[in-house]
Amino acid sequence: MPYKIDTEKCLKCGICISECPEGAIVVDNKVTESDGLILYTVRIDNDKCTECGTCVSYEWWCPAKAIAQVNEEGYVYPIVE
Amino acid sequence: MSEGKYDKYFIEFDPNEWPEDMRPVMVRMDNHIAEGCHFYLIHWVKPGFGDMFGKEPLTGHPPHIHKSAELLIHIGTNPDDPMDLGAEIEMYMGPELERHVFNRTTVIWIPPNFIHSPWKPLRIDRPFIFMEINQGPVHTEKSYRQLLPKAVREKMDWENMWVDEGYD
Repeated sequence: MPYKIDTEKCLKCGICISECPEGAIVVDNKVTESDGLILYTVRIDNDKCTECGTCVSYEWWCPAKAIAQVNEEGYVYPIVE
Repeated sequence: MSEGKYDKYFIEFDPNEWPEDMRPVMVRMDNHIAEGCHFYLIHWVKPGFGDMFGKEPLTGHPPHIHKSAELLIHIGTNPDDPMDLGAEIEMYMGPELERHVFNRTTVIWIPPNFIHSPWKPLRIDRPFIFMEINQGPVHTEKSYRQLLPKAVREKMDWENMWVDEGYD
């Protein structure tokens, strides 16, 4: 079951980009706001993702809890509680 | 105290390194000061401390995370009732910014990467002791200013007061 980023929950902080051990979370868009804050729109590259589970290995690996597995019913939350 | 080979283990911090009227810091320790030591920050919080944040909702130390877990310990100084904090503290928790207010001696558990704050004293009747006990070797912090209302965010001094540390 693949992982996916819930764009409604994602805060665009970008910490997942450097923390994914496979480099499977990639930037789609990068915006610098007027006060210097950089926001990243990201997605999971399924060709790189090995479904190792690191990104859901503890409750707040993603501070927004925006990464989840997806099945036919949609996002499956929570993976870790 | 006589000179001894373990003198280096007795550390007195100079509270004047921080503005006296804001928060006299009694202890600040990390791996740079003593190899193997985690990050600790212990200071008094005196009446008037919260005034610098203003009265508006969601002002205060802005929402942020740390790489390591931390304990935020608030200890009252009323000898007749040690659980009386002598202050009222506002704290927001999680990406939802769930609001909490407490006035008792309290410890708040913050898991790694958990979004917490704004933290702000709403009222301080008596000085209390604040201990930030972090389980990592040095201080790390990443702010989540995107959670704040635009009006609050524009007033914050992001370049000098609320600088990210340890997140590249």
